[in-house]
Amino acid sequence: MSGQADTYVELKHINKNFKNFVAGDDITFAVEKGKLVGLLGPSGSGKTTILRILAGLEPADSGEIFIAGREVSHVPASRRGIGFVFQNYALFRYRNVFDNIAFGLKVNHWKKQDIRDRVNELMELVGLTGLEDRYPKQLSGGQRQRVAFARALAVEPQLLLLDEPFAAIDAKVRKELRLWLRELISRVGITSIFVTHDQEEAVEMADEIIIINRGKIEQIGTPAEVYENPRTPFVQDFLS
Amino acid sequence: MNNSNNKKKSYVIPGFRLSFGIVTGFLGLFVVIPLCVLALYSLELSFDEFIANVTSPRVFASYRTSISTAFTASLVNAVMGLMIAWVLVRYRFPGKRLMDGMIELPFALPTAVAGIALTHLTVTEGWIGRIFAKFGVSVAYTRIGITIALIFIGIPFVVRSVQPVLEKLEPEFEEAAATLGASPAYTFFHVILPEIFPSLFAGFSMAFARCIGEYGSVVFIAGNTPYETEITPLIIMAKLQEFDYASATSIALVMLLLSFFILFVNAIVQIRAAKLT
Repeated sequence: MSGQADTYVELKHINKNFKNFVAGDDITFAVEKGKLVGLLGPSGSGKTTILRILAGLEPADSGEIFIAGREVSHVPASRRGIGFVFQNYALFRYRNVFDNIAFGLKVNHWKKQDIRDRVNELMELVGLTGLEDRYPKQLSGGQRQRVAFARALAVEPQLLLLDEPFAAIDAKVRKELRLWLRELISRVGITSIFVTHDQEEAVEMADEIIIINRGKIEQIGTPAEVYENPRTPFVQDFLS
Repeated sequence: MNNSNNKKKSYVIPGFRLSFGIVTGFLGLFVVIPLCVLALYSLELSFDEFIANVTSPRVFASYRTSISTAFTASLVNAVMGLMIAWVLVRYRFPGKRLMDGMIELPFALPTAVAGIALTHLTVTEGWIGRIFAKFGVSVAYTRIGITIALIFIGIPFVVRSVQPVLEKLEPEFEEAAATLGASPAYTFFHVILPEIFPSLFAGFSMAFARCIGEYGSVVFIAGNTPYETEITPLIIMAKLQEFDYASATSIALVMLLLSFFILFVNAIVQIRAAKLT
C-alpha cells in the first residue's frame, strides 16, 4: 500500500476544485511516523483545504488517503482517528476546561474515573493544572490553545492536525509558544501536520516543509533543503 | 464588573439626555403607569377579599387550564420552532422565502380570525375534527383545542429567537465534535443544543408568557365550560362585563405576577449564558 516502510500518512493524487478556485491539484505526499510537518503557503493556496480533506471535514473530488496503513478516503471525520486543532480552537463555550478535554472520552464511553485520570494527566502535560473549572471565555489565547491541544490529544489520535495554530495568538508570545508546542509534540511523539503562512514559523517548528501554491506542491524538504535549494522561482521568492 | 455607568463614554452621535428622557417617558406612560393602575384598582379589596377572590375554585381552575395549555403549547412550539428555524437556516429549497415570511402571520392576523378558522377546522364536522373524531377525540371545545390555538399564536416567538443564533453558529463547533468521534445526534444534543439553548429558552418563555394572557383566538375554540375549558383572561372579561373591576384587576394582577416570574427566570438564564460567551 505505502511506498516506504516508515510511511505513516499518505496522500495520493488528491484533487479538489471549488467553483472557480483550485484548492488541490494532484496533491501527493507522504509523512513518516513521528514527524512534524508544516504545510506552508500564501493565503488562498489551498493548504487549509488539504488539511481539512485529510481530516475528513471536506470531501476530495478524487484521490486516496492512507493513515497508519488504512485507507480512510471515505471514512467520516469521526472515525479517522485524527485530532484537529482549529484556528480559533472551537472550544465548547458552555463547558469548562475539564469537560472540554473530556468530550472525546465521554463520546467513547470511558469510565468516570478513567476520564478523570486521563484529563488530569493531560492538564499536567499542557501545564493547566488548577484551571479545570474555568470556562473558555475566562482563558487567555495561549491557554485556549493548550486546552484545544489537550482536547485533541485526549483520545490518543494517530495523527494530529493543526490549522494555523498561532493565528489567534498575540504576536509577542507566539515565538515562545512555538517552541513549547514543538517540544510538546516531540514529547508526546505524535505524527503531526500543521498549516501556516509564516515561513519563520514553518522553519522553526517543522521537521519537513511542504510548500504549496495554487493547490500545487512546489517543493518538499527539510527547512535547510528548501532554503538552500529552492526548486522553483515561487519557492525562492516566497522564502526570501 | 465594568463601570461604564460612572465613566462618560463618548459616542459619535450625542444626545444621551434627550433620548433617555424620551425613552423613560414613553415606557412610563405605556407600561409602568397602566401596570400601577392595575395594582391600585385591586387595592379596593381588603387583603382577605383579594385572596378569597383570586383563589376561588372557579378562578383557580382557570389558572390550571391557562397554565397547562400555555405550557404544553410552548413546549410543542419549542420543539417545532427549533425544527422550523433549523430548516430555514440550514437548507436551501424552493419556497424558502415564502415559508420564512409565513412565520410572522400569527403576529399579523387578528387573533379572533385565527380562532374562528381553527374552530371551524376542529369541530367534529370540520376537516381536521373529523379525523380526530374517528378516534373518539374531540378537539374543539376542549383543552386540546385551546392548546392548538396557543400553538398557532406562539410559533413566531421561538422561530425568531432561535433563527439568528443558528445563523451565526460557527460550523467549527460541529467539526470539532466530529473529529472527537461524536455522532451527528450526539453533536446536536451535546454541542449545538447548549449553544442555542439560551435563545430557545427566550423564545419558549416569551411564547409562554404571551399564551397565558391570550384571549382572542382562544375564546371561540375553548367552549368556555367553567372548571374545564375556561381560561383566566375569559374570567377577567366576565368580571369586567359585570362591572366588578376590583375582582377583574386582582385576577389580572396574579396573571401579571405569573408573567413577571416567567420573564424573570428567562432573564436569569440569559445572564448566565452571557457570562460564558
